[in-house]
Amino acid sequence: MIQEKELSEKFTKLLQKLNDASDKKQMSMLLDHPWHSPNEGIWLKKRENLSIYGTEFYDYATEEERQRLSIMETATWWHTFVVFENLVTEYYLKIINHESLKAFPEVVRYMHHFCREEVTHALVFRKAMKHFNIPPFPVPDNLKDFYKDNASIIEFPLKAIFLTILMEWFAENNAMLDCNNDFVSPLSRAIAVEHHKEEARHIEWGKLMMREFIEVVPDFLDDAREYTAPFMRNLLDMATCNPETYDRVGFTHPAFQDYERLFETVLFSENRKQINRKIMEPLIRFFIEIEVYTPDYHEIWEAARFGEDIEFVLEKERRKIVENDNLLEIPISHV
Amino acid sequence: MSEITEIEKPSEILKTVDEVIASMQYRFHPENCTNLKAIYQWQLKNPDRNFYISIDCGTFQITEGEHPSPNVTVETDTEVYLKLVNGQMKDVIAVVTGKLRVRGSISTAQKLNRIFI
Repeated sequence: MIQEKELSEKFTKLLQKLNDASDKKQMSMLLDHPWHSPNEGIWLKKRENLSIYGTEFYDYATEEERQRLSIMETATWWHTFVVFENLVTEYYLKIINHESLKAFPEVVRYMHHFCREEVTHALVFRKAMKHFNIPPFPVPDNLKDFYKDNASIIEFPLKAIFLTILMEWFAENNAMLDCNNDFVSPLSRAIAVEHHKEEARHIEWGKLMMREFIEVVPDFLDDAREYTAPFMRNLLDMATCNPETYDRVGFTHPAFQDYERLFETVLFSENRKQINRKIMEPLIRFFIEIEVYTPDYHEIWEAARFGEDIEFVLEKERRKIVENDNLLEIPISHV
Repeated sequence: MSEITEIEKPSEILKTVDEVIASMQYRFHPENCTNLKAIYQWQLKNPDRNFYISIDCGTFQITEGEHPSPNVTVETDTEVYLKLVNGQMKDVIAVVTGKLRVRGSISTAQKLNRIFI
């Protein structure tokens, strides 16, 4: 019985550490960001991470359009965070109220911190959009559905927690990679870094929840082996580009009118492949560790275009290259 | 995990939804759904057409109309649906551009790619 399970010593210690860290310091919407930063002519993400970088469409765009794209692509991302942070809070509060984790009061205590932090993050992202005069974006239906339709199909909430950490981890890696450069606005960088400090704790908590409960939740692993690869692929592709962002930039070159060609070029570009690999590498190591990925399911990962990324990670393992994926131990300057 | 059979795209272009439905018996691979029970609902627009496929452990049945509780619902317009079926558009492009909406269980949805093409 799950409710009779005793938490491991390792998990208990981490919970204590996380609860202490959240008790001590949580993000402030007012104090932790340089809101006085200028908002004219700045870039919100680095040039190399623009969706069109490394493709013919980058050459078709003017420098002003590229700069606007850096704003719109980051703002789409911020707005997606606003929506998801709210969704996560709703789900986690539902889990708390449902009392399915009542037997683990320290877990529930951390979930309260988690929700408080997610609410603040959403407020910060909304404030940032206002600061740069960017109206809200419509969030693609598909993006909402993937979480809503799948996280809600639960009894013990491990699947909801798993889907949440996948999104948080992937989004976190993406956001940090987008602006780990002096070229971008100090405010944009601070938003990513301050967010990262709390998200790193959320992600490590989620990873340990998986390690702690994966064995005792029936069918979780079989199910996760089927959906994780297509879920991740959809997240990556939908986070890379969307029609609204390109519309708002208002590219003048006629090539941008052909959306099908534009999207296909962007999604399958070598530059995007390399960025996605950096985003996915630690996640894939985690999937291998908890056996969400096993060679028996390789075809599903291949079909979701992760075949080469899996091979890349496995090759590192064969060469005994050990990476530290514990976000609480990695200095922010290295993320 | 059961043995998966690779399926290729149809060699002839299917021009109407009726042709697609008629072709399903030839494109069905029961060995890829021997343990699956699921309802896949299609909601097509322009012109409107709703039908669902019931998969029951290696067999299938197509019914016109709407199922009250499908496991997966696919919403798109008829032109995009025909392009997808004929391999003229990648599903990822249809999803990202908002032309295809897939609702319901992801793990059940992704199985469809290997049941019919």
